[in-house]
Amino acid sequence: MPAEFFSGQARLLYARCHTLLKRLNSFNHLPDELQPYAQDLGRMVSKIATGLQKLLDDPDFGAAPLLLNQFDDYKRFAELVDIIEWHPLSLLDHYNERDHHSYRFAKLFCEQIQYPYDPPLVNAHSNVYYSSLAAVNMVSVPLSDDKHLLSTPDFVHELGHIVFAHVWKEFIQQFMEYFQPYIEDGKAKAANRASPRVYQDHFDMLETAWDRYVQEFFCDVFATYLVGPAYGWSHLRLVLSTQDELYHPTFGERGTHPADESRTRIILASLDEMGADTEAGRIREKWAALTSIFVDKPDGEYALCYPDDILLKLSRQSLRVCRELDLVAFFDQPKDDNNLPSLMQEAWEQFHRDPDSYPQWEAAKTEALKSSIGYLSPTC
Amino acid sequence: MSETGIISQEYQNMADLFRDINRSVIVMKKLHFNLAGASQITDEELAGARGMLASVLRRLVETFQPHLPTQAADDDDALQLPPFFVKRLHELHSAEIQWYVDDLREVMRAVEGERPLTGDLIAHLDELCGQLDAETTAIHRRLWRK
Repeated sequence: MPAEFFSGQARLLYARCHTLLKRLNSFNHLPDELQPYAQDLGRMVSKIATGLQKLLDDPDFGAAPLLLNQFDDYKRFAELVDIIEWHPLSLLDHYNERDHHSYRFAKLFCEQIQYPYDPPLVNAHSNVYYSSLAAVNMVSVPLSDDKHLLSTPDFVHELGHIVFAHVWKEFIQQFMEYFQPYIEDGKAKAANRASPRVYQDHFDMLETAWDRYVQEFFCDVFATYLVGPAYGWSHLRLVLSTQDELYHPTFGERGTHPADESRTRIILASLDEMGADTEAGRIREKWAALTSIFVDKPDGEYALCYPDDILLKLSRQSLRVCRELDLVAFFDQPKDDNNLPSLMQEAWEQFHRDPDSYPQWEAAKTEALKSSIGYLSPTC
Repeated sequence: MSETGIISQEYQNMADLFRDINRSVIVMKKLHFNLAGASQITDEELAGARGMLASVLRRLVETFQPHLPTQAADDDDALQLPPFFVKRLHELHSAEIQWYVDDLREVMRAVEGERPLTGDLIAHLDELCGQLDAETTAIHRRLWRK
């Protein structure tokens, strides 16, 4: 009975793949430059369909000793179909002018930084602020993103997640060479504390948590390398609007993102490393002034979670990856109006110069940008 | 920023590893239970499955007994076990971790063909798949259930 039910579900998923392929083939409304994305998705869906067919054709399909393994294999296919259907396929199905403007923005940005991979698809109606899905090369940005500039460095952070998907194996391996001894040392010292088991468990938890943090920190350094102080200011802006993660997760807590304070520190360390210490100093000053009025303060063990030494090494490692990928650093970008990394920096400079008139300046710039992106890419 | 970036990467790493391990276990089980498809397994497939599973088992043994000398670094550099998966296994066997490590060594010997695979040893392989599947499913749910 379970085998029959499973067989039926697998056949249904196979049929769903063909429905999606049919839908993909009917996308006549897409601009030519997006056809390769549609083709890539088609290949992914076809590959899943082939995998399902192979599963169904297996002479041992439904055999009792393999049933659970086969069912779990099927689940991975189903999950992948969900991801493709709910994200890039939905985007392409409803693709509109705003999505295309954001895609063009991303494409131009990628050209200007010498991004070594295909630019991502961009969904311009995100419901979770900025986000990314590396598996399908897609970034989501807020609806009003085409009218504003101060938050656009957060798009660069998301691009970092896609780059991380290409480099993570070697990156994590190198990172563990200096992080593992820190954890081992912490555990050894914990043996002399009052509650050694609790400390050791917390160090274990910290080790697991950093498996996620390292990616987030990489993306912060990646964005700092590409748009410089603009990313630091953008981070400050985001912290101001949330505040609740300032010193959390701390020692003994779990979370997907590291504490905002630690993220500020790695951004500033990266700016210092790149010689932008004057700008780093300005951000540091503003940060100190802002955090002095917040209620949240670090607890006594917070420092154990995000040691300066580890953050500095991680910053250097991430910057090295950016250089090895031949990405253009923010200070090497030309200062013309069509240069997006420079425009992100200029926007923040303008905001600091005259915050009150900034909205008018921004409106004029985003309008001009809209025309120039269309002009620079005449196939639009 | 949204946590989707981190979770989607974590999901992908976990799902890729799950597929590799699960398919290798299927190969070993087909042979062990002498199923109809066993005769279609090529030498290359069998060698790939043995190598994959031996690498995973070796990594687990090294992780659970960090004081022991590790394999030369270039042997299975590309294989990285997700810490949440390792943590799950450790929690499950923390009361008898030494016995568990001994069992894993036996499974490793069996997948490398040095001793026969038994039902008990297969149960350990199935447990690896089960724990990795549970973690992968949980992460996938977090991608769409906020």
